[in-house]
This record gives sequence, C-alpha cells and structure tokens, in this order.
Amino acid sequence: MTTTAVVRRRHVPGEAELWILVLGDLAVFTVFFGVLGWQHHTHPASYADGQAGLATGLGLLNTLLLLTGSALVASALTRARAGHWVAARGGYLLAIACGLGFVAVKAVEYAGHAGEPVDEFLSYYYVFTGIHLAHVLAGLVCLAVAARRCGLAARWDEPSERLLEGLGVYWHLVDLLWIVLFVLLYLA
Amino acid sequence: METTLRRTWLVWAALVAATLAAFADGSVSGTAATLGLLALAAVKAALVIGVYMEVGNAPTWLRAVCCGWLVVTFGGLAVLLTA
Repeated sequence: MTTTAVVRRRHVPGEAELWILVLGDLAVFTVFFGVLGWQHHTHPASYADGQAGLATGLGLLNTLLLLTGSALVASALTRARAGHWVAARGGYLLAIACGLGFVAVKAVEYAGHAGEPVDEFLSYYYVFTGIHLAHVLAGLVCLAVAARRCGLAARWDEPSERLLEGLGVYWHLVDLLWIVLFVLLYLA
Repeated sequence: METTLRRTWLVWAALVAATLAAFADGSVSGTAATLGLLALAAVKAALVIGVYMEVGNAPTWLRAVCCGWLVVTFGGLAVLLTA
C-alpha cells in the first residue's frame, strides 16, 4: 500500500464502528443544543442575564486553544502518513498542551463562579460544559495514545492509519461540539 | 505533504478569523447579528467536519449524514433563536 493510495482513496476515517460513537455523541449534544436554544427562546431575558455573567474572553481563549489543537492533530496525521514520526509525535504533544490549556482555563472560569447562586442558566452551563470537559479529558488520553504510537511505529500501515485517524476524529469532535457550545452559551 | 499541511493551516486561519468575527459580532444584538453568529459557527463546523475529520473524502452516506446534522442543528437553532 503506497502513501498516495492511503490518502486519496475514499474511505471512512478511522474504524467504521467509531462513527457509531461519534454520531451518537453528536445526536446527544444536538439535544443539549436544542435545550439551550429552547431556553433562549422561552426565557430571553434571564438567558441574556446569565450570558452577561460569563467570561466571554475566557470562552474565546478556549475556542482558540481547541482550534489550534485540531490543526496540530490534522498536521500530525499528515506527517505520520509521510513517515515523519518524530514531527508527528511533536504535533500530538503540542495538541496535548493546547488541551491542557483548555482544562486550565475552564478551571479558572469555574473558580470565578464559585459561591454564585446557581440559577437555571448556570445549571445548564455547568452540566453541558462539564460533559464537554469530560470529552476533552478523554480526547487528551486519545492524543497521548497517538503520540505513543508515533514513538513506536516504524512504518505507515493499515492499523496505524485506522488508529491515528480514529483518535484524530475524536479530538476534532471535541472541537466541533465546543464551536456550537461557545456560540450558544457566550455569544448568541 | 506540503500542500496538505498548507491547507490545514489555511483552514485554521479561516477558523480563527471566523471566531474573532463572531466575538466582535457577539456584542451586537438583533436577528441579523444572531443569524450571522450561527452562519459563522456553521461554516466553522463544516470546515472541521469536512477537512479535519476528513469527511470530505468519506463515502457518500457519511457525508450525507454529517451534512444533514449541520442543516438540522443550525437550521433548528436559527428558528429557536430568532423566532
């Protein structure tokens, strides 16, 4: 199998079974997005008050961290396909740093709300960002596995392709979910 | 490889630009501003799915499912947030 053939043929990224998890997660979060949209629709004043209490700058910083992490993971996969394992491993490690930055910023944000009375908006904020944060932590484990694989792999083969693609897809899912949460919780 | 890497970071630049535009738009209220925010988020989501998740190079069924998710999610939110 040549590198060109791996890159160009039309195929499901990662293992096909992974997409049951990915699409299931998307479906669950779509319900969450609907709940937030419904709250916005039915209680616009209290929703706007809740939004005003959030640190939008920290939300923006976290968005930039996840976007950068995603670009690093996509670049790392490209480098792994070309057999540049050291550079690929470096990309995954930098993406892990972005993810850890996200967790740190989220901790600062949560600490800023400590002691505040928890109204309906803040309840949704904690539940949905908390579930998303659990996804970030799982994604960090995925990136650690990818970095380790790059340290062990000597050549690009089918198992390496499936594994690194799948781990990357999960990390990008985390980014994708945050893109929608950021708009709904902080901006819209 | 260089072409793919260049595309990856061009997409990143577009995603960052869209995020900053949304951040600026977030200080403006009204239906048009809300639709603008959702449109920017939809473009960002489509870029992440199509390029970073490589769904753009996936079989038709997966592209259709992801496209359907984008339409349902952002269409539904547009209705809820502006009605």
